[in-house]
Amino acid sequence: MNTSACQLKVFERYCFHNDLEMEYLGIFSWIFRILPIQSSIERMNFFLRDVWKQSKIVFAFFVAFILGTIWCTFSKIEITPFFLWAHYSDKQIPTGKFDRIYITVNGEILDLPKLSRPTREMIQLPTEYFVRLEKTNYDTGTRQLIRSKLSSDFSEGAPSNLEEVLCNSVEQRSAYLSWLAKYIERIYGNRVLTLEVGTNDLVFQKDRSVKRGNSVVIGKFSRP
Amino acid sequence: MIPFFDDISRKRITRLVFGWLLLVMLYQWWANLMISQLESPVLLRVDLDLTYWFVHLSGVGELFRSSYSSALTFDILLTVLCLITALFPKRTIFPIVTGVLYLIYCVLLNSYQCWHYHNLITLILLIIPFCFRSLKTFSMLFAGLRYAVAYVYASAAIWKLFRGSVFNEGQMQWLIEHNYVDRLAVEGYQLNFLENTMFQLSNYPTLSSIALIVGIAMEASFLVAFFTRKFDRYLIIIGVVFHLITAVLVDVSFLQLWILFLVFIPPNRIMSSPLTWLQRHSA
Repeated sequence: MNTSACQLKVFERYCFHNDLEMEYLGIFSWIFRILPIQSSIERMNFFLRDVWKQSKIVFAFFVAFILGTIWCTFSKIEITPFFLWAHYSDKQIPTGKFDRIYITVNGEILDLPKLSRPTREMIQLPTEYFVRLEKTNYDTGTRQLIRSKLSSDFSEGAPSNLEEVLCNSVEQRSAYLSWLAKYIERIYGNRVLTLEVGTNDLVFQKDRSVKRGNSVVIGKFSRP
Repeated sequence: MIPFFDDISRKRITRLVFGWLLLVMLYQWWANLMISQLESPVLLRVDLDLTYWFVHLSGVGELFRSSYSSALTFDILLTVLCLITALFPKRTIFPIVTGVLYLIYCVLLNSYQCWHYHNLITLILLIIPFCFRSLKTFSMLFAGLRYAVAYVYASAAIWKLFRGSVFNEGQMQWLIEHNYVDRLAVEGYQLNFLENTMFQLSNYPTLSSIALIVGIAMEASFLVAFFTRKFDRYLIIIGVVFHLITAVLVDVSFLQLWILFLVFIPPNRIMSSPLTWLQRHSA
């Protein structure tokens, strides 16, 4: 046996667990001899096959998990624990202009960037959602689903009960602003006497500084 | 071949995972993000996630919103349970209860935050193997988790590829500007050296596009984990570097998820480190 043939033999032995697996590859074995990731598809298949041999229940668990993930991915619906990892995958075109929320407390714009990201987001994200709810008159996908799909499957009062528990309503408007004031007081340690929430455009200038403009007030709160 | 764990290595992994979870919870306390610290939030967002529906329909969210003492008890219990599980790694009841409470916590926090973040809730996948007493089941689930983690990164790359954001001109420039615009809008805010360096990248569209492609290639490299274990240690390095870069460029670190890289440590390294070897000999 020449050197290269010998090397190939060692290589194969390293890659495949036993002769059976080599046999398993059949006529396609030449592909695995060429590709550097030759043990490739084999190994993954072997994992599920090994699980099948060890425990049918765990195998069923894995298959259910894989199917659930596939279904959620193609339906583009996330149901925990079948997560979708599509962050930042939307196409974006830089225009130099961003439509953002603003919060003013006691007449001054709240300095959110000074907070840690998680804390900041407990203020920023619900406020962005609040603005969205205000703009859509509190009509969300959840509400639409309950009304369109579930109203025929349940008794008469059930959908409205679901809506009450799972959806927000216009009546919560002032309660939200009051909550926001309380949470800001907790984080910043200052008493909030007046609070205003709205949207504005943040526009990059030629010198790469940012200017605010086009402010629209969405909600106001003041402590008596 | 599925690597099977022994009692000592399982104990070690349990301590590592739940010790990490304890640190995560302590950070949440510090960041004022425990349920009792949220001041009874008003808005909630469940979208179409049925798990979120069930948690809220169970009434647990409403209970914590209306009763501060119940929320505080829940928060303390969850934190203490992480510690207890790390201290008593042989009892499977603790990971089960911790897992359930942790899931409820993540669901409630994400609902009230009005954004379904993955940085905490994904750890629920890591807790699952610890809920089973049998070493065989534990080993299989832990080995399966390795594929799940690889899927997380690989699918993130595939989504970007299919939706076309990878080669979209100006995508990275938009991402950087989107991340920095709030800071730059604050009067008198000065970018530090690192922030400024990263922000300058947005002034060079070609360079920032290359940075995006490199980043997505790093995510895509996790595909290799489906085929071989040979590159696992490099995947850990790639994962950490990737998160460090995204932390600076787009302010997303996903630090809490770093413990998931544990699945890429070769099992024989976990099982035969000097300490384990000594313990085995003294046993």
